Amino acid sequence: MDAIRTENLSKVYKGIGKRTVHSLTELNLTVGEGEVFGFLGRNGAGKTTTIKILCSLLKPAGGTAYIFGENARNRATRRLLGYLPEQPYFYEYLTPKETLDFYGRLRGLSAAERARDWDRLSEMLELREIAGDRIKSFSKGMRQRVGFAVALVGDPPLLILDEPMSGLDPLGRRMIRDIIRHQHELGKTIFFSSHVLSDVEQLCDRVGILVKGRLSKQGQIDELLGGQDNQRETLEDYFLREQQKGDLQL
Amino acid sequence: MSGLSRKGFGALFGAAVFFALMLVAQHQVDNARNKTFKSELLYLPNAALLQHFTAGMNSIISDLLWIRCVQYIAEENQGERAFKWLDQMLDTVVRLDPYFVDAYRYGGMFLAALKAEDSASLELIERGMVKNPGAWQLPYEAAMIYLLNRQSDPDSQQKAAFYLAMSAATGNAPPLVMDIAAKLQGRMDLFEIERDMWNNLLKSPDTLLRELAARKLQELTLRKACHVLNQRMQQFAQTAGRPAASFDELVQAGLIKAVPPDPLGGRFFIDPDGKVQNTTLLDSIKAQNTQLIRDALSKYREKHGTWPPDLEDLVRKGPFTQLPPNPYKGQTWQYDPKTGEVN
Amino acid sequence: MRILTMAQNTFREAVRDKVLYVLLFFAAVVIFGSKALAWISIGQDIKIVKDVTLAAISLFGVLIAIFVGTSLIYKEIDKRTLYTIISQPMHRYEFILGKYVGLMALLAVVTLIMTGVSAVYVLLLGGSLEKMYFLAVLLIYCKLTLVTAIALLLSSLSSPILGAIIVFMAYIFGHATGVFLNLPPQFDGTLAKQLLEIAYYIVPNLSNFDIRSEAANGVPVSLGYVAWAITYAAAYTGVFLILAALVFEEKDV
Repeated sequence: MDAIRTENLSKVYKGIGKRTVHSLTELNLTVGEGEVFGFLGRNGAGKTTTIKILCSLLKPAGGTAYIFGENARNRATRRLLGYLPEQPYFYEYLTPKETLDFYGRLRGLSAAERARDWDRLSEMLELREIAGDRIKSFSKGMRQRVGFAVALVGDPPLLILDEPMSGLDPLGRRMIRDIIRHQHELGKTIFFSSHVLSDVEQLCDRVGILVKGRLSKQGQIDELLGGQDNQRETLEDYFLREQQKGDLQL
Repeated sequence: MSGLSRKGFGALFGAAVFFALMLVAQHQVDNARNKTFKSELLYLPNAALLQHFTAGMNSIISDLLWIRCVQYIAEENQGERAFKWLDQMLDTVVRLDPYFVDAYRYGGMFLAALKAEDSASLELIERGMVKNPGAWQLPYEAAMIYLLNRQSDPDSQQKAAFYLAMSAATGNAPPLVMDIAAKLQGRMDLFEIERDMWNNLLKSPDTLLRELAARKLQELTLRKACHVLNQRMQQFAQTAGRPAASFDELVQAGLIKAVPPDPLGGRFFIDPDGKVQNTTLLDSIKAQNTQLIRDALSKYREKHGTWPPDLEDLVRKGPFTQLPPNPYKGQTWQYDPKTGEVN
Repeated sequence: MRILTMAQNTFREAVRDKVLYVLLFFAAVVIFGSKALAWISIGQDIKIVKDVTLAAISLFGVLIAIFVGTSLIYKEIDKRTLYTIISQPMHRYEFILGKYVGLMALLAVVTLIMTGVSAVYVLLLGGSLEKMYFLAVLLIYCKLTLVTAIALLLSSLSSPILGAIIVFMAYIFGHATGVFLNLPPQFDGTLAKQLLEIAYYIVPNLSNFDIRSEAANGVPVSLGYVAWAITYAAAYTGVFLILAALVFEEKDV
């Protein structure tokens, strides 16, 4: 079964007195179970809109999104996903421990499960030494770690990460990459958006390229870039070509 | 989709049920409160407190309350005619805006005429007179209350005459008031009533009022002395066949022992008309009238941009109906149209 | 359960945001305010202290309700803290109700503390407290539930400043609804009168909850009245909460 499937997903923003913006046009996307899927596109291409629809923050104007075969708008479906927003914000006055406990409660976990989650995640994301500090005082990298921990609360089979590496220093990016690989080994499906192509190339099985709200390509990285090593395009060249095609079309 | 809209319908239905319950509750609340209290006016906050909690909008709130008060009077007048809350409302109005002359005046009138509470009415008007000594309407209204509501009192006419004199003394009363005042005053000697009144005020807890009363009592003594000296002058004229030229002649004729002293530092003299006057009294009237003219001059200047060419222009173009007189016989106001100075 | 988690967190946020410092202002206002007023007026010390304490409880409660209430949802959207919350397996109305319950719990604690301080102060001054005084506080709290519900609805619709202005207007008009009914007789049978009568029933009638004058003057109020006033608050609060939930359910964040 596909971890994510979207059927003709569209989103239109209408502001009063502003022109209508088609943020997403008939998006058909499939992400198989256990895959690491890279979602590429320039800023404003509609990556975040897609992710927000998958997480039910936005209501699609048309089409349906399915997660493990269930409509994404059903409450129970969200049990299956963990979400890391771009530059995640949490309650500044809480400590990491309180934060994880809070999300554990919202997920309906028992006290024992919440304690187990804290042990597991604080170890994995090195939150122990900052467990008692308020998030208010945290750096970007620390916040991203807390964000990852929140996405992993309740151990959901699908992780949806919006630009997980943006704004981090090399060490932080390395850490996130390691976590993604680790989660992949545990059998999780990982869907992440990025505009940093090298990250995607290193991590992903498959990619989708979004140009101006339309999916221009999706497939195995190797297929898209051509098989042989010496003729093989870099992902960057490929991405730029797709981008130019999109610019000519529209 | 259908599930969602069913949920939406359910929620709207719930909202409608709550809304209906809210209407019922409001109805019941109104009923329960009507049984407990007749009027919303009980919720008029304590006036002494309210004036500090209006965020600097005292006079506007006072105006609104006054309008509400007039409405209330109209409602009650057609209904029970109990006017239960009238006193409290008026009290609040004038506390919020102590210079609201109309509220004192008509409030007093309503209290006296509709509620037959002439003492409350007089109390309100007297409060107004303390705050607004220049308003002729207030003593005039007090006089009317004595003439109309208290006819049966033995001294009602004297009190009325006293208040009319006060109204006339403000200097801006219409001629009608002057007329009535002159007529009433000609008939009686008001010194006794006036002394009682000021003596009464001497017991007031307010120092300012006590000082005022003390000063007024001293002035009263001076006026009385003038009055007695004038009577002696008339006696002298009858026996000698000519008016006395000085007080010495009165002393020599044995009509008085000596010229009385003036504790306030003034002196008695005989004016060109042969009337006895006292400088303290005249100075105080002169000071009042000078102030009235100065006020009028600055109003004139605000309106026309220049000082008037002469004081008569204050009568021709307002605000006076007649110029406040200089109490010293033979003296006229010294006025400089360049600087607006008047003496 | 999730509602309680949200509520608990909202409460904790407000406490750690130092909203409770308001209580210090309250104590200062009550003590200095009533002292100052007692100087000005004569011989009514206890009554004035009661007036001032009830007015201050109402004022500070309403200030918290308006200023915290109108930013309750907006702040979550603006700071994007709700992204990770709404994407949890929970209903959106649970989020709304949780925020509301949390703020009402905070207001309950604040009101209780203010009442306690006031009661002690009145007793220290040698006054006595009747049942009426506490009924007045109870109705103030009812008023706060309604005002907070209105603030919550506006918080999910508009910015805090606009919301605060609107709630403040509603607060002023809500105390003045009586004006709509007490019309001079020349209005009888006109459309204006009918419209104003409708307005009377629709504008949240906050003067229902105002029995402070009675409380300070020791005038009794029937328990039936209090019960219906509470019913009114509960019912209208329900209306506003359902509307807030409906608005939020469909909202793109």
